[in-house]
Amino acid sequence: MTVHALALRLILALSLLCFSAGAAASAEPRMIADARAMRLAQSVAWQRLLHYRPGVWGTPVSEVDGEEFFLAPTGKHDPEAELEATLNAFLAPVVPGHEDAHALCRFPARRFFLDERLHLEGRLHAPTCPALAVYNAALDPEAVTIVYSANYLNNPASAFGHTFVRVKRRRPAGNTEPSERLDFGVDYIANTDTHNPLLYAFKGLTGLFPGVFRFHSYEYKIREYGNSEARDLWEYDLALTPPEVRLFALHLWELFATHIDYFYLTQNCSYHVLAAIEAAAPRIDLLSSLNTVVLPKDTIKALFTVPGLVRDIRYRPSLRSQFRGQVARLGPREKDMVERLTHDPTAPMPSNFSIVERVRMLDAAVLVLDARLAKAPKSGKNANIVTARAWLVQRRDLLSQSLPPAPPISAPLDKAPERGHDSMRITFGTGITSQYGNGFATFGYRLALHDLADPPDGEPELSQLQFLDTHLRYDIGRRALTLDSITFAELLALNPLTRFEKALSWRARAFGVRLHDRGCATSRSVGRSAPRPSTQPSF
Amino acid sequence: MADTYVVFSGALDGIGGSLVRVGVGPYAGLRVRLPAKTIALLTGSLSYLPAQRLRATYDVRAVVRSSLGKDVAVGVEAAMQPSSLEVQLSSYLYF
Repeated sequence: MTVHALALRLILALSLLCFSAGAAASAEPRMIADARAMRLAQSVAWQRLLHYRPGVWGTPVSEVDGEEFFLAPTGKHDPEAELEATLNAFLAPVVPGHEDAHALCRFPARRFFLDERLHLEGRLHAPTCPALAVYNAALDPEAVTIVYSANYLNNPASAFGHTFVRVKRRRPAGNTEPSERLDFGVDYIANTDTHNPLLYAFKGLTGLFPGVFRFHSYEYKIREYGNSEARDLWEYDLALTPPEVRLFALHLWELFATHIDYFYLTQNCSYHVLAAIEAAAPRIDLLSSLNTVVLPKDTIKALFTVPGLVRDIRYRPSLRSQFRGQVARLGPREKDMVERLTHDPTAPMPSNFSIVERVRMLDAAVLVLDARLAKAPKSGKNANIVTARAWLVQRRDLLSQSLPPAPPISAPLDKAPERGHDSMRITFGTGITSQYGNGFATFGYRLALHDLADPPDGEPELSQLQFLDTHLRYDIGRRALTLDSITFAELLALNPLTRFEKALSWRARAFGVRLHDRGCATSRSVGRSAPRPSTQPSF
Repeated sequence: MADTYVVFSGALDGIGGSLVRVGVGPYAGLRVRLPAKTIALLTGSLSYLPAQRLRATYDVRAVVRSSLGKDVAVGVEAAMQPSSLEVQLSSYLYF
């Protein structure tokens, strides 16, 4: 994490300590009257800024759950009361030494919104807001990008993928640092407090974990997802206007100071990232295109429902994809040499290899070792790998510093997440069985997500992830409706076995199925299956 | 792959006549990407059922599924178990 990221975190923490309800004051009656006349509390922009959505009875309820987010006692359910309380708090006197606690400093996005409509400047105090000033200077946003971190079943926590935001900083004059080092990655995550898998699942599904917005340097996020977790990143630059980008950053400041209960299947990382975008750009409607169950991939597809919203797409291959891509470019003799180099970095290269070929092989060998290091960062074998890698880098530098590294691997456009099929599936079928000698009709419903025979675009080629896959069967001759099978959960990860990769393939599932053997005539069985990992190339 | 599973059912004649079946055996498959966004998938498992009246069972499945668009597919599926052979035509809608 960079120094400015740490400084920003510290400022946020200190400002949270200072937060307290602002002293009550009475807004100018004219201001309140104007807000009422303009029906600001009912405006889409205000409702989104406060994250109001229609509740069970159709009345607005804010999805934000932290009490500190509301200035009116009834603010969670009453947009108008919250707006008027906000105006009152904005007019409250500033307590010297506690400027950061003033509503003007705590809710800069609300101030931005109200000022645009009620022209408040000149009628408000002007607290210095030291913490907010540091935040604004550190963030200095120029653009906003949604980042999709691909799912990779060998890391089950990433089974559905993840979306987060890259806030691109304005590059200071003369700064030549890579933009990844300057930018911030912001995500909404569950603040978990248990390692018990059952409790974890229960609390995650029922919203018992508080969800919080957190930021890191973008470089850290790349290392976390792209290197350690072997997940490709897809970046979607959003065509937001400069005021929308600014409002987004100010709104993040408001959200950093509170929490929103985290629901894994519905109000999750992807949902609230889109909600924050909608709050900053009310002209954009994203959440309405989502199903009740929200998966990260769905939110990427939602971006494409707004024409022109996605300005540019970039693919950032994980370390694993980079090494696979580079190795795939090599011929058999070169692969043999790369394999030898990974075991013995001092191995001599045959003289009939050209300089370009040698550099290419050394680069590939370094990537192979990088991928091994990322896979087991704390393994005891790592000292040897680090030494071997250093040797290879030195040999490469001695050979030629003028030759550029191999060109980046091209983006697998057919695997872009927006090209994938939707998450839920229904199936209609008809067939014939030898068991009763007659026909049947089937109906199936699957909550999520993908099996090996589903349309392959936008999905990992060799993994299967299914939840609640249910099949009903109507037997025409017997006139009987039966539950034919139900898969509660299934995870299947197939890994290629090559000279450079030895990851095991595995599958686990919990299911119920109607058996058709002599061990029990057409009975239902419920089971758990956990195949032992295979050491053979499969599928 | 090596497949291990445990299933429970009141109607099962499982281990020692109980309602528990345990199966162990190989599980394998072949997936082929055919032209026109079509995928053929063949999977099969052979399970040894230790200490059970039925000594072994198997399950062989073949699927050929073709995408008609991003969210629509059609396919043919066949499944074979000791007491049944089934063939069905299916349509798939993703939403």
